[in-house]
Amino acid sequence: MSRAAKEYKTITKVLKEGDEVYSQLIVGMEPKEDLTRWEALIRGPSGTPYEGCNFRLHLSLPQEYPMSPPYVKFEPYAMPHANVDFRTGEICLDILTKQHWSPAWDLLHVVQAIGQLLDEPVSSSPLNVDIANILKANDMNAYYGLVHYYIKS
Amino acid sequence: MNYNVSDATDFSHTSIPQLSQLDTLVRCHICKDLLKIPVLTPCSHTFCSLCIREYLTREPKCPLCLSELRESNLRSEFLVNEIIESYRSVRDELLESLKEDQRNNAEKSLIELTDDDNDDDLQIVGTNQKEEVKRDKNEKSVGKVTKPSTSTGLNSLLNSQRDKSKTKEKLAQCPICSNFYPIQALERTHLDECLTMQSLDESTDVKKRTPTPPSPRIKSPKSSSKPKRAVNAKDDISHVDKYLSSFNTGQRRERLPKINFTSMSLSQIKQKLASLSLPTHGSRQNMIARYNHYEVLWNSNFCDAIEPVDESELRRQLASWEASHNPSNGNNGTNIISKMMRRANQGNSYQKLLADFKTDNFQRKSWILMFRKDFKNLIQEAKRSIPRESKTTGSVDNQIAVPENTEKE
Repeated sequence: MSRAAKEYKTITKVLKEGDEVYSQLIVGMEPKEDLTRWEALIRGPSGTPYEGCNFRLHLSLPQEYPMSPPYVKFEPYAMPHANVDFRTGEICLDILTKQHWSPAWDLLHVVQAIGQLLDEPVSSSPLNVDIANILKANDMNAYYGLVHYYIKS
Repeated sequence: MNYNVSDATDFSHTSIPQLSQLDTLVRCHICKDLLKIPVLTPCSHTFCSLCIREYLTREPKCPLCLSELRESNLRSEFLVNEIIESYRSVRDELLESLKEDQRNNAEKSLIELTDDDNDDDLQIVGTNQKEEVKRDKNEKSVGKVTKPSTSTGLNSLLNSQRDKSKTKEKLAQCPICSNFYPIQALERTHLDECLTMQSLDESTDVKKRTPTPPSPRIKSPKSSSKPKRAVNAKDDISHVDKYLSSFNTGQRRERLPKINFTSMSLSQIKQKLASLSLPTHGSRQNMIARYNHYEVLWNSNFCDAIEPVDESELRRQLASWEASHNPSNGNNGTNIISKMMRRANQGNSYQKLLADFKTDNFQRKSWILMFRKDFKNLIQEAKRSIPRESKTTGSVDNQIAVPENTEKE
């Protein structure tokens, strides 16, 4: 409970003062209604097909947070990525599972990890099989093309 | 309830920004608060006893380095505990005076810039002196707190017994402001004061909240008030004493064991809870959760704490934990955070009402008012479903029973 309040303070401070690590990735991040639900807008990392686009993340904190990981999703029908379910926005990331989560991490770490996931998709545990298959075949042209097609449509 | 959210970056705009590193180091990585009853892991990381024990009931690993970790491997750190407690007691003051320093310095540099032409040297000498005096003062203020304690350090071994009887006056935590008071004072006067102060505060302004000025106050670890320096020094003598007398383990008790509930019957579980004088209501799952949390509280208190509190205080903590974690108490499964936010917005507090639910003080009218909408919806929903499906009315009836009773009254 007080932990969420502390994170709110840190996050507003970090975003206001401009941190080297996070200002590149995070466009905006703020709580909705109460401190259990958050929305973040992240910038597609450069050197990836996501460059130049912003993506919306929905984060919600379970009651046991930080003992349990936060639930994080992309906006539905907006994120074409090998480890993201396009329809629901669900993300396949090990640190967001109960076994791998550590309470020492906070929401900024989570967003940072998702930023890294955009940079380095893991084709071995796909939620979007089409993109994962293209990545496995190492067909970069098709990969860029498909992602751009999705983003535009 | 303490609304002052402290943070390591508080120091970044003071005259000694490096202190934010120190402040970060004495914080628990789980709750991000100043360490409370710190314990050391075999991998040399330190956490709050309660935080890490609660986490270890889920995953047997260190949150920082992810190496394997068992509850039995935790060791308490009395020295760190007292370091942090003494830091906690001066932190607010330190922060304030450092901020003031910063402001003064900024003003001085402005003066120096504007008065550049006349009497350069005099000006600089003057400010330098002032600065030194100021620094001296600060050093003294810090010294005051620690010095008397070192001088009495040796005596403490002799006096520890006497001290203990003095400080062992039973303390209990106020569920509202979470400061510690003697039980009697808490029950007689403080609770009422705290509740009324709180509702007053809420109606005025959440941000300008000041801690309640209760009458027989005993040093509280979380207090955000700024006690006078003299008083502070007197209180803080005990940090060194406490550490030196910490070998005295007469108060220690056996740790509570982990219990495998899967093979136990309901009555056996009830017996187990009753033997610890814990409440035995609720479902099997509730009771297991209750025991598990009590075990964490107990072991943290009796194995790690330098000054263990009474069992009854543990039960109180358990009850307040249960009130905030049991979803059946919540409103549509919303959790404590949204409850808290809502309470900050509403003049009429939901939790305050709920606290009196089983007593005569329960305010039915405001309760009905608060949930009028929900009751209405429930009634409508029930009415709609009755004629269509007569079979499923069993569960619906239960829901109606509550609102109708209260409406009649």
